Amino acid sequence: MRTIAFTLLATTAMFTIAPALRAAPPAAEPAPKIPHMSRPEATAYVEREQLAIEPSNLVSPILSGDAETVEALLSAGVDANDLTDMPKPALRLAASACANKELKPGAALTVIEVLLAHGAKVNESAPSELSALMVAAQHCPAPVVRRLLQAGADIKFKTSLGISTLSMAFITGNLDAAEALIDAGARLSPEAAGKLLKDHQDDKRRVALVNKARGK
Amino acid sequence: MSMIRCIALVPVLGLLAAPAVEAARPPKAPPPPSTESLIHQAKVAVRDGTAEPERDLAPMLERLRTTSVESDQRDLIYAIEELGRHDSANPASVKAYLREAAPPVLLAVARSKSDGLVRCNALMLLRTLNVKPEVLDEAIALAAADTSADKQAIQFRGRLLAGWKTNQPRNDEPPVSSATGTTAKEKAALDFLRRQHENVSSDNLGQAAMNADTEVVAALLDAGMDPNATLVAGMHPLSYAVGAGCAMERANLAARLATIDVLIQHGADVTLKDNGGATILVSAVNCPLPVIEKLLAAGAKVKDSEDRFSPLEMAFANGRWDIATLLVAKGARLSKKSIDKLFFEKPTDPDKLALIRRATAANKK
Repeated sequence: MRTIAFTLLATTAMFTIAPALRAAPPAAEPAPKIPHMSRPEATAYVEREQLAIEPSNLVSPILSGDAETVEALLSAGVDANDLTDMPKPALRLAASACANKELKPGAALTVIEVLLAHGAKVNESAPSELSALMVAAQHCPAPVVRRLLQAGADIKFKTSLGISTLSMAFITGNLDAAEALIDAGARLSPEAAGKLLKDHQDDKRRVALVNKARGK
Repeated sequence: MSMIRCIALVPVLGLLAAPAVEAARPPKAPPPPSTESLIHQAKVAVRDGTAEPERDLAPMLERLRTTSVESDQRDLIYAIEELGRHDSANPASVKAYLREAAPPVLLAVARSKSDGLVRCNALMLLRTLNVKPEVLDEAIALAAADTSADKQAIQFRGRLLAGWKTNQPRNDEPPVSSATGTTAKEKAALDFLRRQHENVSSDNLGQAAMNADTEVVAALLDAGMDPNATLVAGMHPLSYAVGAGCAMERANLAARLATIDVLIQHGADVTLKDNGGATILVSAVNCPLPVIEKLLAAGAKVKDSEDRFSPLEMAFANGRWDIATLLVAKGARLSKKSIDKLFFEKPTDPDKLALIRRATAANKK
């Protein structure tokens, strides 16, 4: 009885949040279904797929947008923040999967939802490394950027050489991501704004966005 | 009188009789040693570090040249493989001798009408010995031209050798440490390496340096490995110790410093660059500061006008302000222009800004 009530509550909560998320992207893709498995289901899944319960087995499904396998591994006991034999932290890998043009639209976002649901850390400590948001600023569509910001990604992160997340979006020409960051409050220093407009005066959208991001 | 005559006669008779006797019944020369005992003698001498190639190894090669007994050929080839393997913990003088002296015999076996498998093994043994490219070329050519019943197998071995020739390890031969044989130091090092199942190769020197396995590094150097051997991508043992080694944090700092010390004491050159032009300080950007201090103390240069990317730029790019501070104190400088190019936005932290100002200031003297 109590379980049913909980399930109903959870479902209702999801329905109230979902439209808000869905309203954001202009192209109205149906919101991807986020897989969820119980521990026995997950264990059966990884046994069937003959996957060891190790973080390094996340790499391939994350990069190919296979949210179901990611969910299975995490629900079967892999720690989303375990870096053993991982080339990069899981969430950063998930953002870099946006660069894979073969991925179905929304696949990277679904994987990111799964990782966040399992407690993947959004921000990292090492200053010279890129953050997940920084990688998303390079490769990902605006909804991914918004989702990471919503999860608490540090919008003020800069690399050792002073490239901010917003600068990175402009440098790689990902203006959708730049717009999402500016809407969330990211701003450019005069030094950065000047460098970003150099040789790009003809690009009206870029000029407008840089100007919007100038100042406070 | 008669006695004297008798004595005088014996040698005369002896001289006269000898040819006749020999023709009738050959004198009993000692029977030639068995192949098994030749192999045993060689292995014992090599293991004890007392091997003299002409005495202990040459007879095996001579037997392989002359015998047509298939099992002997097979056993001899296996023995030469064990003793001459280029990365084994056997004395450098043994490996060098077999690398030089075995190929003519092995090529003769490969050309002969011997058993097909024996001929194949003779060819592949050239790879194990890490023979010179000219010898490989000869083997590849004879295998390609083979028309015997076993030509398929022989030609396949030739292709294996050809493939290996393009990827073979280089600089993997330790110089022969002394003309007289194995020194006590070399012997002790080889015994240690054999017990630890460590290969004696420059590749393994790089691995041990990367893992900061100081004892193995020291033993490999004592066994005669070149502390400046060229490894993958033109890197050297020292670049493994500070580059991949520091990046992977495989060992504690004390072990890493000890490994670097051993390499430098044995003559590792801190001014070498890899194929990408990276100096040792550029490679060491992931290391803790004491490693950088040690490299500087050993003579690593903070600046080199030919560098595409200087150690200071590398330190800035990796957010290593501690290394950058040390390098600037030691005289490393960058032009204002390269600082502008390097930093997309300059830092706002006053200490970091002050360091950048010092880095672009004129060098006193």
